[in-house]
Amino acid sequence: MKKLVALVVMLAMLLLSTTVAFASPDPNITIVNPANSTTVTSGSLLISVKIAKKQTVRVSLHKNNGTDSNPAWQAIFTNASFTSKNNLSFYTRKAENISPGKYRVKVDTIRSDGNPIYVTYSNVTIKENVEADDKAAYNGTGGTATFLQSLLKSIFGN
Amino acid sequence: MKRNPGEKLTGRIKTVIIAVLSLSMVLLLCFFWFNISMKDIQSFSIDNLTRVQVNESDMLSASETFVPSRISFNAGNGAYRVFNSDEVNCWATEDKNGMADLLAASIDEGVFFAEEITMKQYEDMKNTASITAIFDYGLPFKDFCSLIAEKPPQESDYIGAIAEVSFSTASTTNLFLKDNQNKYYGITLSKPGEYLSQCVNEHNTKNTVTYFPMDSYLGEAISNKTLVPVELNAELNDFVIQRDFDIKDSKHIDELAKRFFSESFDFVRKIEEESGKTVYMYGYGRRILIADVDGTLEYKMQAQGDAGSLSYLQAFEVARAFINRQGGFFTESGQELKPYLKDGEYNFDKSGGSRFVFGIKCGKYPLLSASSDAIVVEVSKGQVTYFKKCFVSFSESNATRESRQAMSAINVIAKNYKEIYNVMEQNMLLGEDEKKKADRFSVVSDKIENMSYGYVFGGDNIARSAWILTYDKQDFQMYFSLYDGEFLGYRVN
Repeated sequence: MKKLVALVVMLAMLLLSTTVAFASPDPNITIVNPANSTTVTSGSLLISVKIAKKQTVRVSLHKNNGTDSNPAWQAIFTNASFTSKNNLSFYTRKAENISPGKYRVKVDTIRSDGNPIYVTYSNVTIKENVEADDKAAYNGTGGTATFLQSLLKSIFGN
Repeated sequence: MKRNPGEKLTGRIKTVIIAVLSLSMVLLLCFFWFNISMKDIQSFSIDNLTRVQVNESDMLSASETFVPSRISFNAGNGAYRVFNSDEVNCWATEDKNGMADLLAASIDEGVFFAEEITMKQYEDMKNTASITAIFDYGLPFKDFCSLIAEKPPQESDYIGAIAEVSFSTASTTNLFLKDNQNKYYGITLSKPGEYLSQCVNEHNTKNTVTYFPMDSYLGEAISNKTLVPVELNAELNDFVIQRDFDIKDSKHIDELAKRFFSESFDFVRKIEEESGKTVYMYGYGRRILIADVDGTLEYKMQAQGDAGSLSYLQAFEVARAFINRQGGFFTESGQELKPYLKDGEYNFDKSGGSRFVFGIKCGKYPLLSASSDAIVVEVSKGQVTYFKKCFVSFSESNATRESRQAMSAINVIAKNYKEIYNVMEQNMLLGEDEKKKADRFSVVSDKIENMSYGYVFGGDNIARSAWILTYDKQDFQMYFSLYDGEFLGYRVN
């Protein structure tokens, strides 16, 4: 009877720990770019993942083809595993031709048997780059006052 | 009286003999008078002529020299592409529609107007689809205007040396300028840069290496905008170089020394040091030449008189003439090198002196020595007061191989940041605030001013493909293997 209880407790702990670990982000992984819950106006996306431990990760990018409440994730790419040989390293990749929409960068921390032990996410919204240049339009005053101001500054200092 | 054919022939032979004897006499006289030896005649060749005094056409002109160190294109989405200035046709073009051409037209047509703007305004413009010409050396804006236009505008007196010139598709009738005092200017053009807008679109769609600012990879803790490639496939290969001269070849060293002392060489004292160096001294040290074991020649001269200081462009012509007299950019074996202006500064000595530092390229990549630059010239009071030359010969065909993936630039820093920090600490390159910071990776990353790749050679005469990390306005560089990120060396000026 004791053996059976111990076995049940062990199994419960194992399942519970795996569930918890599977759901939790890796403390040694930081998705630097794109930062979580940000909006990017670009057709390309830089992915930069900071890995603060010697370990293996697998990075993937997914697009939500469903809704926020009922997501349907479609893999845009899944890279082969990347192994960090130092206590600090970065996984970097540029994803091109990204259409507007909601995306998720997913980083699986892989155990030696190939199974993930942690999953770290970062969600990003890609918007079309419209009229970005107009927002930054330069309106030079062309004013003599500004020039005189610069001139006086250069003579008498700031 | 009519002579027979036999007498005629004898007469001709006599004439020929007299002519040959006369010629021999003149030649012998020349031998004794100019102290010419048979060896001099044997070693005479066209190469010798070109080596000592180079043709004007083989020398770099000011307009060929003072070009941007590199040109970056921003797609307007944070992604950049970076080129050597000779790889893209957008600075000075035949059709006069490059960045320098538009600026020249604006000055010549009297439209030029420079308005000081804020750093944010400048950065906003650069963040749009744009071109930025980056200068690693300090060309005073006034000298630059003198070079491209008929007369520099009055405002050019108040603008420092050019650090960057930008063109934005968001404002095509302006150029934007950053000077070496971190001041920013908006410049009015006389016509819109339509061709430049086309260049922006064309180069941003090219299938080349993409760069992002360093803070995009490392997060907000870093505020460094230095451009770093995401991934790089490179064809660079290690190769052997030959030093320009062998210090043991005493006669050759003497010949090199004669170029510096010319007519006064008979009064030059020669000292052969135990270290292998040969030192030539004239006038109690007023002029010194050191030929070193690593194939470098270093010449120092005390400035005489007070000729007044020259502008940077005028000083360049003095430096250029001196380089020409020392054989130009040809090695002693006759190989023509590809020079570029690597660094330079006006008023480096706080008394109006000018400094020019030339590097050389192998293909389109810099070929650096871990200890010396290819040529350094300093001009003070109208005279060359310092000259150092370190040339090497090499075969460019050995410098490339099939393309393969280089180690990611960011991971080179991540792998080596402790080593970089230690070198900085040993060489007192860290400020007190930086020493107090616990995050050494951030300290090392934040200070990087340029991250490029090329070849580096040291004492073993092998040029290795390398990542080149530049700090402190090129006063400190660290080199790591391009493909595996191993430490190769560093240089502190």
